[in-house]
Amino acid sequence: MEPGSMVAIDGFSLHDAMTAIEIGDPRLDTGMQLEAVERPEFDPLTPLLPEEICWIIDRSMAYETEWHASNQLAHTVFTLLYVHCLNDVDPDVLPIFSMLDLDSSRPLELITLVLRAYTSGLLKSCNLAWNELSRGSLLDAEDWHSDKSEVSLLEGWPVEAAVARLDSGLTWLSTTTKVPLLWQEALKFRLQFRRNILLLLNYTESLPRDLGVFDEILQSTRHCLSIIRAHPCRSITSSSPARAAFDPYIARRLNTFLPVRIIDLPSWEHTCDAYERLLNGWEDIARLSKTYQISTWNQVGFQQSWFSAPVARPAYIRSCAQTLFFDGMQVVHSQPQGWLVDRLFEETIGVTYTAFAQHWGGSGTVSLVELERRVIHTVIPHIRGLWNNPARRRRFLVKSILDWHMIYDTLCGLVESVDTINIDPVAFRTLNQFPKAIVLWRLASIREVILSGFQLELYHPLERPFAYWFVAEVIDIHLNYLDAVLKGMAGVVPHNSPSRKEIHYQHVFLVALQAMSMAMFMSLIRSFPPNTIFNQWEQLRTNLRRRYKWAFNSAYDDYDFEPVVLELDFTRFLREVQEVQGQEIMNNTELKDHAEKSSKSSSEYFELAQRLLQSLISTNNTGTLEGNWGHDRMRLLLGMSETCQELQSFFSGSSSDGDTSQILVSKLDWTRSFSNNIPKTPWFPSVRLHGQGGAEA
Amino acid sequence: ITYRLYTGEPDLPHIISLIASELSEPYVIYTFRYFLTQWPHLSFLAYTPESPTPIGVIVCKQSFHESSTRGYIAMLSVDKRYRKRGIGDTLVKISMEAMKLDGVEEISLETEHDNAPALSLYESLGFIREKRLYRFYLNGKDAFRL
Repeated sequence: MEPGSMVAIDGFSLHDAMTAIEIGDPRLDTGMQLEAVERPEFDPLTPLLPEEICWIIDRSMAYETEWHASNQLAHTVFTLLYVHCLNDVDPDVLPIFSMLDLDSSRPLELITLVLRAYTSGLLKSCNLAWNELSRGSLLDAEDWHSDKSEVSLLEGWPVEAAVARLDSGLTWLSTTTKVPLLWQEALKFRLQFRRNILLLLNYTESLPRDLGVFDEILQSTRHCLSIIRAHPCRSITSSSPARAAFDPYIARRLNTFLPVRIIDLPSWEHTCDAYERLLNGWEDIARLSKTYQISTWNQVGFQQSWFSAPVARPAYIRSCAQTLFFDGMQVVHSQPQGWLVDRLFEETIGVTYTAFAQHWGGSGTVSLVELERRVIHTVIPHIRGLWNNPARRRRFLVKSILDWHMIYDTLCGLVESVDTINIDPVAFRTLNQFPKAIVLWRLASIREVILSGFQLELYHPLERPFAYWFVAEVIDIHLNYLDAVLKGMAGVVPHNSPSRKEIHYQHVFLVALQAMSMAMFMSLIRSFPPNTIFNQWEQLRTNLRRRYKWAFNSAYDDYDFEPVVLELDFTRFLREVQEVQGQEIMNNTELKDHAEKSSKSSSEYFELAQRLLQSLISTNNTGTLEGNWGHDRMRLLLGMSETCQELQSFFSGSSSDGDTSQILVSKLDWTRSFSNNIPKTPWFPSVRLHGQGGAEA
Repeated sequence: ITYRLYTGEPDLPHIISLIASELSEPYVIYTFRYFLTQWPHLSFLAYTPESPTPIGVIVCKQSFHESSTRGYIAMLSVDKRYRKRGIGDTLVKISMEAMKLDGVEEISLETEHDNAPALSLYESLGFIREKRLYRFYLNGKDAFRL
């Protein structure tokens, strides 16, 4: 071979190259340690003070939350060295002399009973979460990391045994005189917290059975967390032997192929916030376990991402939601898959699927089996997909847009085949509602695809006006279909039915959202130097075709019926840009009519949105969502209302000052990447306060 | 600043050094060889008279993807001391021209979601953020695929 030449096996891929490890490369060879790092020697039986035990527990809690945040066990939980030597601190096997307390302030039971119980509970908790994640659909190495590095998570050990061990620790703490009262209480709350977490993980699998017990444990856990949060353990001295209990480089000694990564431990506040997110997630799971409305599942699925993206909620909770909705056999733990077909139509248009199916001999007949199969194979992945991480969720929704159209096409074909002469007009009108139901779900997906681009920070500044304009167009069509569905419900669906209630809410909300979107479209266009869109249209058009490639999907040609919303009308977009820029309107009747209809200013659009949002807020109207989910909806409405005011003042103030273009644009904050910076709304920018950085995202 | 094509194995240690010092993702030598051996004509180095070793490098590949030829910018690195001189911009443009000559119809790459300088560079050249990749990198950060 010549120098520089390479021999590779057939099909040698980039993945093959990147998964290779160079022995002795300290970045990737976890066993390689270049310089001697002095670590204090770790002896698991070193007596420790109660506050040192507390410190160890608090630190391990932080590491646990980091595992749930999709980091490796070897970089988080396993850095606690007690994990690897539980047998060495088993009081049943220790020689008697080692149990003698040489230092009364450091009773050995703190390790053999308290810390051992805590660590066992921690491992068992990780085991239960691991089981859920491994049987779920979330992606290993993306949403979570499964590698256990051949360390036991006490897999074969019953949960009851872990609970019993924690109870022994709690009992000892309650009765001992060896530990000051202050630290007794601190340690008891931590052990109780661990016990509750373990039970919640255990009971989640059997929901909604034991729901009352689950709720009680959840409340108790919240109480423990509030106490622990309010009383964090103070830091220990640098010379404390407790510091030896953690080795961030433990991966070097474990059976793992991933490079060592030192995790920056979150602060105590952030750790408690992470646990709170888990508890909130459990609360949602408990409620979802008794939710048999797929429209509620749909809305909750959207909402939980609206308030968190681009950061994802804990993978364990998302996996639980997916498993709960469909576990491979049943829907919401007890319903057959066919149940979805009925729910979809009854909840959307207030009419049961039976009213449709009867015209073809009933559900499950040859004419309908393909339709029913398609509905099931679209709804299940759609709902479960809402609990993917935000980036993957968006990609999934894009794919589902075609799937919904397939159902629509099938329904239209069936309705078209009906003998219209011999059918009752009301019945025929009802039949025509069914394709519309599918359109509503499809349009909601399209809207979410467009709007999630803001949450994921995908859009170039020049793309943003188009995104707002396009979503306003999609909402326009959605509103027309809502009106049509409502009209079709007349005389068929009771006025106080849940489907009507939800449609009324959606109608008002969507008009408000449309108004805000139009206001943003107009304001952003005006913020650009004149003719920017036109001058850069060639590049922008190419980008938009790529961005919205799903709208140009040639697969739609295979279907008989034209999709509702597909190819983007760039000509209309440019016309409206022209109007917004106040340029001379061509002498064209259609254009003049259009101009008259859309003669609102951006300020008027913001005002309209405000009025509509306030009408929902003041009447506490959250559609069919109640409880915490209703609160979340209200939170969105309030956030949108505040944003409306903020942006309206901002744009009005800026235009009156003559402040335009780059200065204006730089004052809008489009970033979403900071998990602690929860924006008021998912899809609109906030205004940077005076003095904050002005770099355009 | 002068630019030249990757010529062979003697360039490799300098490329590895530049990439390792600037990029967060650790790459083994096999990864470099995967690109440089198969597509040496798509990798370029930047030199300055002040330094005998390169101060900037770009490593690319091309492949057939879903009925079109797609280019891929795998690595781009410029020595910290020589940034903000348009070296990265020039390296990207040179490699894009080379890939276009090879019949490439589109070019993609990934970069950390918070790498503002890289995003600014690529977006000024017409790249868009096509998708976000959750926790793409070993350090847990999201990536944008441009």
